[in-house]
Amino acid sequence: MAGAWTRRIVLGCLAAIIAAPPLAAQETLKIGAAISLSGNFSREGGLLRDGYELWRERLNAGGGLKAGGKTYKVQIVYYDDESKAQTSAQLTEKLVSDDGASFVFGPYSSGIATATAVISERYRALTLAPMATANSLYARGYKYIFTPSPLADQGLVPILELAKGLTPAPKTVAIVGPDDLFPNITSDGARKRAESLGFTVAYTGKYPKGANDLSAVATQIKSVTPDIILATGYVQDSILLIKSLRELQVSPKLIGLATAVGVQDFRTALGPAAEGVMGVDYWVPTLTWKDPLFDDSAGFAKAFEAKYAKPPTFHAASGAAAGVVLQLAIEKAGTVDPTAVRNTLLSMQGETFYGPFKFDANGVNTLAGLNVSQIIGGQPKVIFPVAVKQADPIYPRTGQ
Amino acid sequence: MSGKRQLILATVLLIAALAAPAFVGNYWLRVLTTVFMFGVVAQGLNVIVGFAGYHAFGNSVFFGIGAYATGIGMTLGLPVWVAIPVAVAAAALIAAVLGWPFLRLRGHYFAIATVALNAAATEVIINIGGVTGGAQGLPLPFSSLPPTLLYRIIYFAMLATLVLATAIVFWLSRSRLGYALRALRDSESGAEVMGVDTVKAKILAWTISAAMTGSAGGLWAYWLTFIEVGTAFDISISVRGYIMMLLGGMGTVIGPVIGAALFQLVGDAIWSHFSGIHNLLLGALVMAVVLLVPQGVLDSLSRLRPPARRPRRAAEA
Repeated sequence: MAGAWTRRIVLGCLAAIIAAPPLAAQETLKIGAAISLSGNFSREGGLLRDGYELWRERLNAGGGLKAGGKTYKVQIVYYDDESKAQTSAQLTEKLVSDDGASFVFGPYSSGIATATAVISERYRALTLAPMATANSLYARGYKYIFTPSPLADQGLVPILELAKGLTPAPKTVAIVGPDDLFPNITSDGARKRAESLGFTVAYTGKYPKGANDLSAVATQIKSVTPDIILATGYVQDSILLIKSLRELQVSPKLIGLATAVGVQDFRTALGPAAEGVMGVDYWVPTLTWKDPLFDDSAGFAKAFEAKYAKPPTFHAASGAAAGVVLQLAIEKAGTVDPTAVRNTLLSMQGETFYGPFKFDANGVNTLAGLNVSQIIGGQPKVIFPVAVKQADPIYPRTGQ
Repeated sequence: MSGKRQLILATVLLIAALAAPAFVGNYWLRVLTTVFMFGVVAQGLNVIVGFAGYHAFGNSVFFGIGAYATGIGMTLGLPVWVAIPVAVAAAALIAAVLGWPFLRLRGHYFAIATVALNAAATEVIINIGGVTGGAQGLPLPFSSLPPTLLYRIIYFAMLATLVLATAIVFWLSRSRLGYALRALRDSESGAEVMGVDTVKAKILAWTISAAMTGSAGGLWAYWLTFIEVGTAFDISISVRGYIMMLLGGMGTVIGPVIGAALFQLVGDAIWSHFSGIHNLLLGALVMAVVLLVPQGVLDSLSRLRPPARRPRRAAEA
């Protein structure tokens, strides 16, 4: 608590110096955030909060939020939802009805965010949920929840779009992953997109979550000899899958994962076998989309490192981007009335360092896309979309 | 504490609960609704643990079954006031059927089996898929009522469920079944020798317990409007209920209700003032309670009274 007080005092002094000749009396815009600071999602929740905080601090340091001739200092009230949906509902209720927050920043994970959304929907508090991307959450007709991030069914789509343009043209696809909420959505989305792009989906398989042996799955994949193998799993099971494929000498032209391949564990565990593997990222520091607060992704990464002394993750980037989206919408709407801001969000198109945005009536960002990276020479390089690529894809892959 | 005193205390609490919605905002209404919900869960545990002495750590399985049966019922078009009773009946029926094999296990083995049952239920729900929503979770129809009205309806429904559960425990405490359960808790073979049909008594107790827990789960699902296996079958629901039951007084009529109120309200007061270390403080509090008032707060309250009454209390328990 002492840290928070010191920070407040320092910030207060800073604000006093910057705003030396006090113009109009400044108002406060309160945003509520019940996120996981303990329990299963405490790590991701903490990273997300870092993003929200960086946005708030930078915005306030630049004078605050301007809307309709007034200037607002942004205050974010945080509570710990303990990674529990029930607690999140209770705290969101407190944030909106007791603490007077008319805007809400969502938690990490769709399960918890659904509980948050029910409450904010009832009170018409505009909610930005950058790290809640399950399609089901945005298919319920809620009017007040928005996400700047791509939804779960898009998880492998950019790899397929990239593959479509490669020569020699790959023809057959195998999709495999654990039987779990996110992987299942990603798998369905990939299957549909593969078929619409003209690929033949030769195999789709699921294995139990946490499986320790994937040799049976690898044997089945071997029997269909696909050009492309797509895996919807998390880092650990993707490592296991690639090892099992290697043991059976299955070498497809392309291996695509629904997780980031830049993770150090991944490269360490696989060594040369990681070479040529593709993965997707919500955000990479080389993106060149622009916004007025951070300029671009390099600007965000620099500001983040200056504040936290560690490199940013996509969680933090998505959190800060959600802040920028809200900021742009409020400034354009010229009011802090959540319903008016919602209507503006629906009609506007814009860009943050995280990517472009245009929302449909369900709060889904129709311009959101993932970035594809490939391990080339032992390092992850962005290869897709073309506008932000650092290297050309290596195809067919050359890894062992 | 004597039956009469418990009755007076219960009446005072009930009047306070009935009047509360006139004085508190939606947030505190939600906190109180949570208290009632855990009160029902704790009473459910009280029947099987406090009376029958069977440690059903995995009783959250019936919370999940109640929640999912309500969710599935409502998805299929049943109105909520039909879906919840159907869910309660489903939870009770499953307990009655599973009680046959499960309640043959004694001591730790039963406790472990209930935990395993809870884990198995989550897998079953995920693998059925379809109407259960599988791993994707199950959204319930969203009520169009304004929040203030809807929350008051849920508040009174949860309160009514708690009152009913407590009334059942009160009835149990002086019924033939209640005596049979307490007899088998102290010595199962002894009870059998005395002519108690222990199998029937145990199954009945677990069925009642499941019905209570299931009703809390059903209302919870309607309240939260989105359920998934991780939260509906969360073992910490029964763990919390257990702590509340122990805190208030196991085997008493209103002890679990007092325990639920104390634990939940103190818990909320702690996190709102000590964000960041609230779990540490709550853990320390639970340890203090277990060490200092192992028989529950109701027992400690009664110890403040003249010692002459104490022997009767011991006989009662």
